[in-house]
Amino acid sequence: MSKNPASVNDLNSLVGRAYRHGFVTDIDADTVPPGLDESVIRLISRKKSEPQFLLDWRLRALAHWREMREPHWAQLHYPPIDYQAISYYSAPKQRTDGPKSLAEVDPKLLATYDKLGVPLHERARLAGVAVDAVFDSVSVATTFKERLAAAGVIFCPFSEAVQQHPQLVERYLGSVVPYSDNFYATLNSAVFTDGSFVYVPPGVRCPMELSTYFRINAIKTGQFERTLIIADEGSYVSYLEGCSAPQRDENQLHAAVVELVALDDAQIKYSTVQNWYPGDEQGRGGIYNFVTKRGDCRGRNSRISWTQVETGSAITWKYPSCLLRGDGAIGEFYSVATTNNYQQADTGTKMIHIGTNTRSTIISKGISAGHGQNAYRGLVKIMPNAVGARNFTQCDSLLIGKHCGAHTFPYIETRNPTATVEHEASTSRISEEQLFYCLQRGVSTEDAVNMIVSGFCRPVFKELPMEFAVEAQKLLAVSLEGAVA
Amino acid sequence: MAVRAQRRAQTGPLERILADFETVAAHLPESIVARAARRRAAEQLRQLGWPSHDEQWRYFSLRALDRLGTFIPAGAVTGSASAAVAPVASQELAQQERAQQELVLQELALPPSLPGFERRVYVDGMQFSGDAMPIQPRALEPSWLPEQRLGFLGDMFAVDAAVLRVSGAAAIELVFVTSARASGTAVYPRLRLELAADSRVTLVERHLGEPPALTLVCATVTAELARGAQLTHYRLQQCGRTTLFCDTLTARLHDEAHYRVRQVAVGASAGRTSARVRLAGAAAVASWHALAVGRAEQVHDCMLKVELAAPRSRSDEVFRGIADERARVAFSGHIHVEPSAPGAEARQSLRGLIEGEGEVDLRPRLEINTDDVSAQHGATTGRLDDALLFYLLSRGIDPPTARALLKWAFLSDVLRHIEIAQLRTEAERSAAGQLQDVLAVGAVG
Amino acid sequence: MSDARPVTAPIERNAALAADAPPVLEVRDLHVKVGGQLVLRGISLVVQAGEVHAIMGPNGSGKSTLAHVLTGRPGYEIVSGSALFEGQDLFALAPEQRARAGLFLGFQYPVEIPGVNNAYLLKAALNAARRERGLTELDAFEFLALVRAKMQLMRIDESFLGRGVNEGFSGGERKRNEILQMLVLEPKLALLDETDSGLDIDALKLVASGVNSLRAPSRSIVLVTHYQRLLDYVVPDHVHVLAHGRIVRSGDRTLALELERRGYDWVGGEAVVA
Repeated sequence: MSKNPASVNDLNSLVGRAYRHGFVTDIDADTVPPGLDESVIRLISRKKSEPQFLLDWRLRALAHWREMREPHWAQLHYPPIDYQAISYYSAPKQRTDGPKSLAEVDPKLLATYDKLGVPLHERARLAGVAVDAVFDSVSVATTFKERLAAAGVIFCPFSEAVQQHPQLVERYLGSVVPYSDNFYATLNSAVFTDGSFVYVPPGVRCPMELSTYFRINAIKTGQFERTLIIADEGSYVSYLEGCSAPQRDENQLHAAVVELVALDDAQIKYSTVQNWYPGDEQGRGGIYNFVTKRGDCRGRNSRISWTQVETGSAITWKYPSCLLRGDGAIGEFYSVATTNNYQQADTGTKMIHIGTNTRSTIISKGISAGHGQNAYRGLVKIMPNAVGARNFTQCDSLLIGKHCGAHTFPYIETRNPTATVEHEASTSRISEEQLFYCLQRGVSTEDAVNMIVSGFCRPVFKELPMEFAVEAQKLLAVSLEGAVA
Repeated sequence: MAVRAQRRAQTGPLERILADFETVAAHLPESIVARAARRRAAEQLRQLGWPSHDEQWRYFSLRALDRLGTFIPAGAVTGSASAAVAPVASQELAQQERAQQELVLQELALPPSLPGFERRVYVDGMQFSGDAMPIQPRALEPSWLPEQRLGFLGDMFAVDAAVLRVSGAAAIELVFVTSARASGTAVYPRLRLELAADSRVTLVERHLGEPPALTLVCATVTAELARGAQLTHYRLQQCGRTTLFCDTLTARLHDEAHYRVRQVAVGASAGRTSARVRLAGAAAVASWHALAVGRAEQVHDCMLKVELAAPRSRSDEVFRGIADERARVAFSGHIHVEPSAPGAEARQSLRGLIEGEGEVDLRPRLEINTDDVSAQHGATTGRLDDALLFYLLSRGIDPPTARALLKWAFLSDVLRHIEIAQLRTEAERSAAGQLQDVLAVGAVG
Repeated sequence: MSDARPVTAPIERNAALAADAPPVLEVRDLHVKVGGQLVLRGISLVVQAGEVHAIMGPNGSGKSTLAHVLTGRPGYEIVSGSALFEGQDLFALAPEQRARAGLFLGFQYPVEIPGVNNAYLLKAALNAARRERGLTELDAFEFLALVRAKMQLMRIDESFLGRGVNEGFSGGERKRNEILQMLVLEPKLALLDETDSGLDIDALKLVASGVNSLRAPSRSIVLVTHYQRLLDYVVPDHVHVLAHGRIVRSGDRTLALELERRGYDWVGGEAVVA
């Protein structure tokens, strides 16, 4: 592939080549063939009419990424990923290659939606039936935007923010997760195509839960999305990320970056229900989810909460973290991660206590079933100046079956004598006594398992917004289907 | 030695180690470690490379090893290795040597013998007193984990070994002393324990000595416990501050064997224990209680991996660490439950206390690969419990005394498991010696 | 409510009912092994609708084994014999099917299920049984109304509903919870395994009044107990003495009193001879 900036001719030939290789069935002028070099970055940047600072930033990231090696310290096993075989730019798809109606959708997938109680029109959208053929959400989106605008909240696709609020983007982009941070984040910095941008002005309490669910113009943001949320002084925002049902996705690699900035007295609550395609019962297919999420409690008494329910993906590699820089800042991490069949998850958090009287709470619940492997990896670091810092960590594993694994890798590094760090971990299984007790009350095995698992996860579910919690519970049930014979 | 010091500046420690090994390899006793095995160890170390600042080594001050003059053992340098290599002809020389040893022993001022214990003293890694046991070259040398790779140094350089083959009951005290003669070099204490079925052994292993210049004490311990064997292993590391102490241990337990370790680390400028205990037999039990107290610039790093590989195996770990002034105390407790271990139980309780600008790092790590297991760990770092402190103050006790008492209680979680009264008192003294206030207030005992 | 009234059993009426319907429970020559050991060695027992039976016996006589094997707890090997529940082969049913058919076990040691609240378990259990019987499921309000009434009877505080099943409960609370569940589920046959053990006299009376409130012509109760004191409050129609895996003696409630007077050695000795 040419190292020079792509000319129109180059572009045509690239597109043509992609077509010959059968990567896209319907020629789309906005899709580049597999491979990554400077010309691809320039192409992406030009396509999006980005300002110079952003192109420069991307190029620095690319140069850095080329010097990096893929990390292998996590408790994960997967075949090598060929980064030159991935197509790094594909405009939001029109889904013309998708099914034309529900009749064409995999019945197994529809059965899952049925169990989750997803409304009919939603099922079609989620299954990838062309949006315009289904229902019109434009009106929903519009009223939504009007309410936010009235409050002064900016909530838009990342690419739109680059155009309309370049000063905010330039100021905050990479300020939490620098382009050089880690292999996947650096790759993302070079090639990200879109994502979400949120800015909440000082003193504003965002009038509604923000969710990508409503933002239909970015349903398919691709495998390298980038999210940036800034809560200015004294503001509050709750952001929900995820989808309301299993989203089939043909992508193999998903390397997103999320940056949160909370200034003085600001609070960000970030909830995720991650339910990407986990692969089949034999462990074939599924998403590799390598995500970097980090929150910067930059201001005094700022607060960032991460709540995640991870039921999907073949591989999950993510550690939503908090830098507790402001005095009195609070970081929280509540996580449920399930692995069934051959799924692998290596997830956890980092709480870096820098400011005085900073506090953090970590509640992690890992559930392993089938041949699933579930690892919690966490770092609690108390820096020398973090006088009075406190952390509490509870890290519990539930194992269902003989072939699964649960692993806990906590790191506790304390450098201040006035700090208190407490870590507790336990491993348990669903005992025969518990199961029999439920059966004796007439509850079926499946319901009993779901009940016990939900009970195990309750401390995390209660941190989720109401509808999300209900959904999470149902997802959990679906993801553990067949776990107990 | 001057030549060596010069070269040190140019090459990394691994190259120096390998070069030192080549220099001395031909003179090292075949009976302690077979030549081929020494070579294999060197090769394995070369292949693994010198540890970088990775996950398993991040808390240990590896850099200190760069400052070491030589890795060639003191005995090999002086050409007076153990009887196995000493020329049989020169009886007179041996006698002279013996007289010299007696003198050294007197100078070393060892702690009094423990009643009922058979004592053996090893100076600079070589036996000085007690009956030597014939050593058969071992077919199977220990294979060290990457995080135990300093064990290969012991395999490469050892000039003598303490071997205990016990059936029945025994109480043995092994004292490893580093003398001034070894100052600036390295010594390689080596201990092999073979416990026959149903044997019961109490073993005290101590490391002492105050060489005037930076000296490496690199100990290797291997233990094999046959069915039903019981070993209580007290380990006291009380080396002087000029010592770099690296200790690598591997133990294998068969059915119903029981291994108790009570470890106290107070000495050395930097100490590292890398231990691996494999519960290979059904219902085998490992119980490891460790204590580390650091002050000034000391580093105490303990890494323990327990592998539960058989049904109903059990492991219990307790660690208590205090880091005072600018000391760093770290404990990595790794519990690995294999699918072959239904009914396994593992418990871990790790606690650290920071004083001054100290640092405590704890890594309680669980890897569980089957559901029929009960595993728990708790880890805390922090200050003394305010509620307890207040309780004592409200009873009219002054703050320094109250603090000292609480620190003492903290250490007692480990110390009270030392069942030999004289030894416990000694361990208490040396732990208290690390904590000025405890000593001053007289909270001991 | 503190005075738990002894209830006299309407035996004659039940005999009439029994004539045209199969017994609620009919156990025939049941032999059961646990861990290779024969623990039940030929139990036969018939429980008619409306009857209260007490099964007494020393520790290790097989009382709990009988309760567990009837309700389908795993770990028991049925060597021979049969058990019919309203004429239906009990051993052909899964534990939850037995429960939904109306067989209830009050556990001797009710297990903790952390995070699963009492209300949730109880509602799921009740609706599972209702579905089975072709009844409509209760919604949250109907359920709460029902359960609150029963809770008052058992003097259980409202806050209990939000707590995890038996989580952090005292022994007495656990037993009261078992009875509450029984009252809500209204089984056809309740097997109460040592429900009286570990209770003080007030709690015992409370539990007894709960059990008595459930007595009805269509409902049967089997009390498994070591001591006869529960029988002062819940008066049984029949008493059986179990020893070494067999029913060595059956009689009316006077048998329980005699047993208390003479101790288990009395029947134990006879069992060996028999």
